[in-house]
Amino acid sequence: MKQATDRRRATSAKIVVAVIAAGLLSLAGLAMWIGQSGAPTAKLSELDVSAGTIYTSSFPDTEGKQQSLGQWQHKLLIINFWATWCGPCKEEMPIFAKLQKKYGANGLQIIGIAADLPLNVVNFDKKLNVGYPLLPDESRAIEFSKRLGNRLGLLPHTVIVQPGGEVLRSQLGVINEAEFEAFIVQNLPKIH
Amino acid sequence: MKQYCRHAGKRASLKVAALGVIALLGLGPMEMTFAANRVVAAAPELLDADEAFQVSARMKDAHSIELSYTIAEGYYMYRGRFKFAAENNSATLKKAIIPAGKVKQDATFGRVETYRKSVRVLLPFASAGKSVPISENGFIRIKVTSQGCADAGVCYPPQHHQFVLDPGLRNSVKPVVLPAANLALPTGMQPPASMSDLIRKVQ
Repeated sequence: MKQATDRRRATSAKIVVAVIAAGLLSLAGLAMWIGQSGAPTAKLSELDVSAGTIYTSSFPDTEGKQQSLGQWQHKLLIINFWATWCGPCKEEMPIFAKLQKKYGANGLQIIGIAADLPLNVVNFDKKLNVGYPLLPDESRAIEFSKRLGNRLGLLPHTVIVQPGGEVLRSQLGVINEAEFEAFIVQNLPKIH
Repeated sequence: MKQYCRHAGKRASLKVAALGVIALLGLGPMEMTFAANRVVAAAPELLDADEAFQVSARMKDAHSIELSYTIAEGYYMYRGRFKFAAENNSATLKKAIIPAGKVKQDATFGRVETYRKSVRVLLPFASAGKSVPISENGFIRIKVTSQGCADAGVCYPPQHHQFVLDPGLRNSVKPVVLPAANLALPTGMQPPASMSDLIRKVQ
């Protein structure tokens, strides 16, 4: 009788373990889904970018003056690759404009490197007035984006670089505003 | 009675536990499948541009070239992004005849026209006069630029194709893909080889 009770207890224990394991498995699946519910992202461990690589690059602004990315090395830098001929890019730019306005004083700097002509970019910004630097370089933008992990040269492509040059994220496609904002807030530099 | 209740309680808890296992084992894979589907929806394996937007050209008659684009499911092309140029002096291109696309009116960005599945563009041309020395044995060489996007929410950079056509033949010709012009790296950028496959991984 005691043996039978022990067996039952052992069976119950096994079932409980199985339930816990299955539960954990389900939670892992859910976490995977949440983690990957936005556009494709990647962390630095998969990127292998040296800290100085980005900051030594420069692109012309809409007036043709070269702007070194190094000037933003103490900021949480968001590099958005875009073009006026890219519909999805234009859809998400108001979000970037809003985020720059909201978190600019907290160490956020967004820049838009455009695979486009300066005139197109200037005309576009007259309508949208994004409030962050737009750097048009039709011949080099896509290639630079490819070097940051964008194999097919697709747009939009957004790269988040934390102060010091570490790439936190490289993302293709339109951002999810709420998730992106939460990620930014989490990674804003500490203001002393 | 007390004992019965204890056993009944045990049986009930066993039942609940067993149901839990069944439910969770069922839910686990479902969730994973859902997760996988969600990933696919968010980040599908995107085609290379030449697979997404396949193009060929042929001499439709003695005075026009027909370009045929086959657009993969889930992809579209912009009407306003076509460009055509004759690359030798065997012919002078006239105004291209591009069919109307599906119109999308955007309050901020104006009117855009797009194509899905397929589109045919007609390029009428004038043959070079006798006074003009015809190059490349009379073959017509043209450069075509086009651009499209995927429903997944990304756009491809402009594609440049070159066609060499014999005005005397009517066969379909495949293009030569031209690299984007002047692709210099920004100052200080070194190609980090290990990053090139990143997007393939995350897609």
